[in-house]
Amino acid sequence: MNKLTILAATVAFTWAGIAHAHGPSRQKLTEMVEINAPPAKVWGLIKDFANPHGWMPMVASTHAQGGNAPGATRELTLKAGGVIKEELKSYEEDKMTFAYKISENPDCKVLPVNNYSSNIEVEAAGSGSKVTWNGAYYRCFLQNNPPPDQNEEAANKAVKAVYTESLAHLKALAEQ
Amino acid sequence: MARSGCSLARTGKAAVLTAAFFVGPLAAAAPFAYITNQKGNSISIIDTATGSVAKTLALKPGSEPAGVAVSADGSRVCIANPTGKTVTVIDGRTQQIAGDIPAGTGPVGIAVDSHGRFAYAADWYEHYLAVLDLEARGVVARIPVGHSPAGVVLTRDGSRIYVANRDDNSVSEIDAKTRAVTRTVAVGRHPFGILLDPSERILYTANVEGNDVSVVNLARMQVVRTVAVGDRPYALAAAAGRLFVTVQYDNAVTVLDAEKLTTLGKVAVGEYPEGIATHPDGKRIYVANWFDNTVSVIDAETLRVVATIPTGDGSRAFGEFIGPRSL
Repeated sequence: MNKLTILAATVAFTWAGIAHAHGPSRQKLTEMVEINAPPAKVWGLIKDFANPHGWMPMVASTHAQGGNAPGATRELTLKAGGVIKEELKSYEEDKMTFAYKISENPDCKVLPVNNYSSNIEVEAAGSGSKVTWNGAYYRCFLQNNPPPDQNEEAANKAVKAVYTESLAHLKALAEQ
Repeated sequence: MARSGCSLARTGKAAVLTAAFFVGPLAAAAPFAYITNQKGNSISIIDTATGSVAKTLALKPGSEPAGVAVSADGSRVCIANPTGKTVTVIDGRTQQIAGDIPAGTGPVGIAVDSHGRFAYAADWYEHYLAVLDLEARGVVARIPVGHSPAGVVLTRDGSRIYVANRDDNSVSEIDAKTRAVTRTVAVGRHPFGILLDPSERILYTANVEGNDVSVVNLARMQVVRTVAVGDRPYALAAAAGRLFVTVQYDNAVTVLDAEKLTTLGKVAVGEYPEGIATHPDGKRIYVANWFDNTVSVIDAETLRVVATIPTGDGSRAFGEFIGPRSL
């Protein structure tokens, strides 16, 4: 009897189907690379907030202000066209890490993300180094039912491409 | 308390007995923290006595849970799934999922009354507060509020509800009986998490874009103070005469003196701290770190992190996620 009661009540509970359209949920991405070079050398290549064009292959040039102090800004002009404006959030020389965010949401065609924030860190790993790059962001389209080039998959693909290409280039530079 | 207890059967006593028969002894009396893992699509249930995850509940694929509320009697836990467009109800005694209730287009913030009878879920896209009857298991009313409503709180007696209207930069006050908005107050830019102080005369809002906290005098329904707290504040909790605010981009909890509203310090926690709640002992604050997949436990007196508990992927825990001391 009790079993039946439970069963009936459970079945009566409406289970909603999975809908196709859904709203934005924050995405996160972590990419890592191991580099056969000392951490100080690797950090030396990325530590200057004003120098992303030195190791990120998609960046043509950078206009920067404020050095490596929190609040410093940089504008990345991309080789493919478009500008990304970023602000340094925190900087820890001794821990070989800094955090930054995109300060103005970019054109969806330049980078299909919103509210992007990130940090990057260099650590010792065995006889070499490990670089970890984290990003958190929303897709570009903030209402329901995004077009395919502005959905979560598009955002993840774009950010992943930036991270993997840049880290591969950083590895090549550091291992030279 | 047992009267409104186990929800699965209409006859309370029989239901409790049945539940015991099926799942063994009732859950232990230690307060439990229910952590929504948005990317992991699960709930980590932390036993606050042992400081570890006692149980993990898997939700339906595509639920992506964010909001959470535990009834004051501990009988029911409600989970808001913005992507699944449902509210999952967990039986607080057996810690098992009782079922899902379809809930509009994107439930985010959620609050539940003290007996676990009605829950109130903010609908992000259609700009209303859904009233869910947890016995009848359905939405029984939709109360129009401001744009993109987020955080929801309820007075202890359940008579008034407050909702943060993120895109309208305001808070709506709702009469729970008439289910209508009675007053609205303009606050800072993009209020998300909100908190009632213990006297229920003051309401605080964490303003994501404003990087500050608005202090609202509820008698006058007016902002009386605005306090800068850091980059992207998210939610608030109170303990030991202090206010604790998670600040996403600072990876920290900003601590204010609740009376003077001066900054007492910043506690470094994990990355992207989001949901925050006070343990019933009034001495510890629990913080969900979204990026790190952990919960930090802060001593409210010493302002030190006393434990970091691994949870699931994308821990959000937006709401009152810790249950009462005993059921």
